[in-house]
Amino acid sequence: MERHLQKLRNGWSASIHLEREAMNRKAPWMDLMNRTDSRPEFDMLINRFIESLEEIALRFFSEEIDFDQIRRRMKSRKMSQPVVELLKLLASLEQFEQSITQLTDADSGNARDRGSEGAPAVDMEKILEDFDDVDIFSEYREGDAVYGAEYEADDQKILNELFFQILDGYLDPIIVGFRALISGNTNLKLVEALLASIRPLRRSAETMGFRSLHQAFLGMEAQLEATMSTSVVRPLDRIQLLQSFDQLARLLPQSTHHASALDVMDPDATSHSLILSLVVAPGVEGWMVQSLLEVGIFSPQRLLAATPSDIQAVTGLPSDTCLEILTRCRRAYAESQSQFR
Amino acid sequence: MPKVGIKEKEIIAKIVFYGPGLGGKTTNMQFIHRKAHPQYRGNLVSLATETDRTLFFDFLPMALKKVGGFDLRFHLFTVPGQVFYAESRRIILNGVDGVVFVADSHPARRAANEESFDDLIQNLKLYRLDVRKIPVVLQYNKRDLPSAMPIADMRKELNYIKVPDFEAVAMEGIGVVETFQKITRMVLEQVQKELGINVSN
Repeated sequence: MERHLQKLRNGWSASIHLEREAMNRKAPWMDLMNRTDSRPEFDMLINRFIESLEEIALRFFSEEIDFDQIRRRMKSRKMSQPVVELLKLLASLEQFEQSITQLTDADSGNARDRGSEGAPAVDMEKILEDFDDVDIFSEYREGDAVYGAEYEADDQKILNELFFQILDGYLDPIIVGFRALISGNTNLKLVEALLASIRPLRRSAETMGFRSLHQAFLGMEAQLEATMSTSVVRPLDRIQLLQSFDQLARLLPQSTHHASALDVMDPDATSHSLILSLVVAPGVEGWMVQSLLEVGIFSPQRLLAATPSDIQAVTGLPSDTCLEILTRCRRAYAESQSQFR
Repeated sequence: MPKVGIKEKEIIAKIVFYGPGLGGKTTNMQFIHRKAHPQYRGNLVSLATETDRTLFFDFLPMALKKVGGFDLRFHLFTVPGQVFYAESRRIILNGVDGVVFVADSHPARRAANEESFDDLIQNLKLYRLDVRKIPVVLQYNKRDLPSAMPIADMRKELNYIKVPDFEAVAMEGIGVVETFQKITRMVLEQVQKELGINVSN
């Protein structure tokens, strides 16, 4: 293996010389090549050789090659030396290519290099020249080629990533609004504002073709509209609002920070969706959950820390009823958690 | 700098149309999409509000195959211009390789132009980019307005960085192609410049 690497290092160094000289079109060794009878074959060999080296360099050597040393060596050398090196390497090209094949079978995934130091030169003059010749706005004629399908997946990936990044930002004020509503804010203007914020997001999700996300926004919209129609934000509405948000939160990529509906309820909360587990728990009545919501008990931590008097102060319920709420809810929550252990 | 994939033989660049709300960024992109040969352009995706104002962004991918042996891919984006979409603009500018600033020639939009241009400069700084060092083209749109501000005034107020600029009526496509051609070429010239530095140093 070390033998291969050494050979490739030497070849890489030579290829940098050759590319630079060729780009300048003034190297003495190019005259020698022009006088050779088998110029096309020679060119082909050079191209294959350089392409292989580029690939190898990108895959394996981006961190191993001491480019500064190569540059120093390049500056101190005479023009003819790269040719000598090249000819030596070409003589063993067949063996060399076999080595390359063995090495390139493994894909290191380091294929795309963003103009890293020492990267092989790109003939930008040629690119610009050809670019000027392309008429992007020419008229379409039947049978003409269309946009490459090979790009579409990549385009969609870029689009999706950006969409979710921006969506994340738009959700922040919505979360604040939901938090206010669920915590007991009964201002219908807030509901109206949330509706106005969600509608364009729903449309955008539809345009992007995210059906589930579109459905989740529709669900939130429907819930908010229902709340608007009753002219009051009832405790039951709060639970349903929470559930509708939870549906949305589950669809968002993990990269976004809106991991669950509980985040809406309590930014300090951990991973357990307390309220949702209580809503479906046997022995816990809907009005009990509503009472917790009214008090602001959204997280397990708060449930454990709350006292009957905390609930009584907000709801006005008798003390023993408040104790009953806490007892049943704590028991139901503990049971729901034990199911996952 | 744009992504240069030596192995894939492709160059990928991100170009962002920036400017005040209702200035004509989306109109520029719609015209490019409408007029570009289908071989070179993908689908235009517009994520807009119910009143057709850009909410997220517009996205138009373009690709030119085998240009000097490389595939050139340009990803065109618009930003939402309204002031309150600041965060979206910042996100969209991430990784930008070239900017088209679309200014509105209506006198009432003078302050909005300047505010948006300042916003661009500040947002570029977040990514350690200097508006004087990356490819930027200015477009003075809506030149057909009877009350359009004099070009000299707009240049003085916006183009103090001395970048290429064009007059346009994006609704009619006037100046759109020229703007696009200029920014794409400047982006490629930037690649040439930066690769040159990398190789020769």
